[in-house]
Amino acid sequence: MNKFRKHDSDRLFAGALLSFALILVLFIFVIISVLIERSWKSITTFGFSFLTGQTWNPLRHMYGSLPFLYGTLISSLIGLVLATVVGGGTAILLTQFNHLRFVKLATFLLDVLATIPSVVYGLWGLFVLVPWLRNTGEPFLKATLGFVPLFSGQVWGVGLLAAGLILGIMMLPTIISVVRKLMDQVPQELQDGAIALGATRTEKVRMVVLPYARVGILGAVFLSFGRALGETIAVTMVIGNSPTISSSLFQPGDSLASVLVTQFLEASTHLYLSSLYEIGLVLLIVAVLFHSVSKFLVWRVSERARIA
Amino acid sequence: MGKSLIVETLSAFYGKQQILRHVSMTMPEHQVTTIIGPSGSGKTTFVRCLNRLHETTPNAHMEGSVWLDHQNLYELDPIIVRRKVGMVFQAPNPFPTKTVYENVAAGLRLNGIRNKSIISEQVEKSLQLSSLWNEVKNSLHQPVWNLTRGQQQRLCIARALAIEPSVLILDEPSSTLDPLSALKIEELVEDLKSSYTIVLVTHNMQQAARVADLTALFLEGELVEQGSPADLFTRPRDKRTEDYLTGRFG
Amino acid sequence: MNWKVTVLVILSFLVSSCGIPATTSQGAVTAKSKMMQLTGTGSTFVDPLLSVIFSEYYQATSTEVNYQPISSGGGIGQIIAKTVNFGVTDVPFNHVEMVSAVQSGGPIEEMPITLGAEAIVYHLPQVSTPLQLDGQLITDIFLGKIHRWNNASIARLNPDVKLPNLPIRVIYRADASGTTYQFTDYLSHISPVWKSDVGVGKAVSWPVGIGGKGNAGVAMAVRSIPGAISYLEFSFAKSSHLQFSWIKNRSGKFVGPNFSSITAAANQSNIITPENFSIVNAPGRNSYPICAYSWVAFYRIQQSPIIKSELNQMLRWLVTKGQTYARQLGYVPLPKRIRQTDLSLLRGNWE
Repeated sequence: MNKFRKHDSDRLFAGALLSFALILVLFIFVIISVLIERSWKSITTFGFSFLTGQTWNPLRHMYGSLPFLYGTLISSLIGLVLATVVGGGTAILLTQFNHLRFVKLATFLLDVLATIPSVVYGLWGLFVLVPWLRNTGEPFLKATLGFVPLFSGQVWGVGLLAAGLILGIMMLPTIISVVRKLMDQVPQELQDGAIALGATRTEKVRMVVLPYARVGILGAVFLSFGRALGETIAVTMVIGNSPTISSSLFQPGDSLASVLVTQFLEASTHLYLSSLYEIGLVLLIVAVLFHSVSKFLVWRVSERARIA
Repeated sequence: MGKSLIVETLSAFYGKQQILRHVSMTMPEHQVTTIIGPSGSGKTTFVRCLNRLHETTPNAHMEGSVWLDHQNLYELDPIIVRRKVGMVFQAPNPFPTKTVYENVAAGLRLNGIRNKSIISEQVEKSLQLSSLWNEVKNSLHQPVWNLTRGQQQRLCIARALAIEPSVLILDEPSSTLDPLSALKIEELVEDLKSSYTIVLVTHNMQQAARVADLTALFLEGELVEQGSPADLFTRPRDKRTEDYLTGRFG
Repeated sequence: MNWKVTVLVILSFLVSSCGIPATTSQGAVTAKSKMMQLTGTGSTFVDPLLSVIFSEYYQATSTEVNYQPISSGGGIGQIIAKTVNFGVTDVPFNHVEMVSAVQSGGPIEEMPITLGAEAIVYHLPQVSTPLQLDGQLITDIFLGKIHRWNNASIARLNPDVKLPNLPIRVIYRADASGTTYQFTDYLSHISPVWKSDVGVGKAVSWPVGIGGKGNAGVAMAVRSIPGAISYLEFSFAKSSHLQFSWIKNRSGKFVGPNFSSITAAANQSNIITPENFSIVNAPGRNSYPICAYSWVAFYRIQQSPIIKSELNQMLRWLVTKGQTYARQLGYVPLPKRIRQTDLSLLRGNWE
């Protein structure tokens, strides 16, 4: 009797799980189909040129999303590089030199950082980072690396660089905490093995800790990049909101998520609205593509680690 | 290569807790010294003090001195100490992301050796010494987890030997292996003692009796008795040794 | 995780597209008896004024008016979607919007409810006296033809000002807005080049500069960037304590935005219709050249007679008694003639 009832409850549970999963699938399907339906006019009007078009001019009914795509990718990439280098370094410091007294404080501060809403990062960016970039950071880069197109042109403060830096700072707590957890999971015997061979702490990290945690770190980095792609408020506040493509990181740009929030409410014509929906669709596709590529990369690296 | 290792009034602590109490003993060159004792008696801590691994644990420290070749190891750079005193751990711990070859070469690279032929030569020699060469010579560039646990442990021995230490510590090296692999390790220890000072921690008294030239018994952080295994096992001088051997202790 | 974020982004914008006040169409009456509720949405610019007026109106009549400031375009959109009783917009319905509205609920009535102006704001640390600019100069700055503040053509209009050698940094509204419409409307009246190259609209393709989101975003950008110049709703510019310029009007006189110069400009046009609503670059010695009305829009045909009469009463109050609150809040009351036109619409055509 008891056995039967247990069996029944299992079936009920499995059924419930299955229906939740179905709802989820349905939900995703609805989102995608609504997006496609709403952006249909734009898709049929512009076709592929929506992705390659560099002009976004509602007045002339010209909608090309390339500047937003460009701004999204470049700013996220800057953020990624910053977060990986600084975040990775901080995580190493915090795990490997954990006898230092400031570690507890740093951990606490990082937890606080992670809870700060993005609009606050945006404000900080606008009032602290942007003026600093305009008065000190960018003029310095221009003076030293100005011959590289990336660091040339008029200095605004706001722009792709500012957006990228803000994104990087926003990604830091996540990257640090994930990388720390990963590095804490590196077995002590392995670390002792390296130390017993005469490795310094740094050599140990390079030889054992990082290789052991690299798949996880790669995953964490991708996770943060995915988050950066969709980040809206903070980016809107510092990117300059100018739908242009410039080789200089000092120049203002715009991002997919940002143009959506700034223009959606006022979009008056059908084509305008439809194009904004297509921007949403492009953002979704970029995120999904990116997610798939990162899954594949993580899979390949872990596979290679298994073979090599 | 081998040099005697002389320990003088060694004490070790975790925070305020004292793990080892005033241990003094000599581990002669070209001999196998076995350390026996129940779990928690301080055997592992003792050997971790010999290569200064103990102090890498947070809040751990030690007092006393350890002499090797007229040098006090506690006054040297710990990095140098660990290159003189090699160590093999309880469970095989090859570096999982490295190949067989790179595991053995790891210590050489840490020493700044870049010359490929020197490295290859040394890798082969070390694998020969740990009698693994014939089993892995065709799979040097394969990942280490294709090896059996016994092979992995011998790989770790080769890794330790590659940097040519004077002393080789083995901390219960066969306790997690199958009997056949354990036997191989034991044979290896016999072979190696001609060139190294060997310190072998074991809780297996048969093993200690088989391979040791000198045996030391640890109980509750103290060195209770040391001597040749024949003397220690058959004519214990200390009451506690007798209790332990007859199973009345620990 | 990035999936979740994406879904959230998409969701939030789906929700916003579904209309913020989730009231049923035409169903804003919550109770039959004395407890009435009207709902409206639209322009953020008039929100401070409307919230005072509606709170006073509730005191006087116990009819509750729920106003959601989302944006002018939002007001138009919600009217077309028939989710609100009235919408408020800084720019009347254009042809396309009108066609959609007519298909949705019949003809639309629109009438001005308040009057405002735009200030040309700038950030020049060492300059304390207001700059004097003319339309051509403003156009050239926003076209990117003038790059530095100490340019000769700026200096010519401001002989007593020591102009700094700073780059000019143009700031514009990144979001589509009535403010941008009025500003580009003004520039198009001044410059045929602007009219043909850029045009008039709530969102245009700007030749130079960076965008700020909303009045607040623009104000923040101007405040933080030395050398910045932008256009802002006058009352907002004043409350943000930004410097603003005087502009040369059609009579050749430099005027700053203020109560009387805005009223003077509005008094130049007696007939304002949804088709002919622009009052920028008005003639008259004391007229400020960038002024505009805000509009309320509603369906001529109302399903519910109760709603119709409530709405009518409320709007009448808004353009009469309601106007007395304008000045203290930094708005300009409707000129008398405009009020009369509004009232005759409410009385005659629509009662």
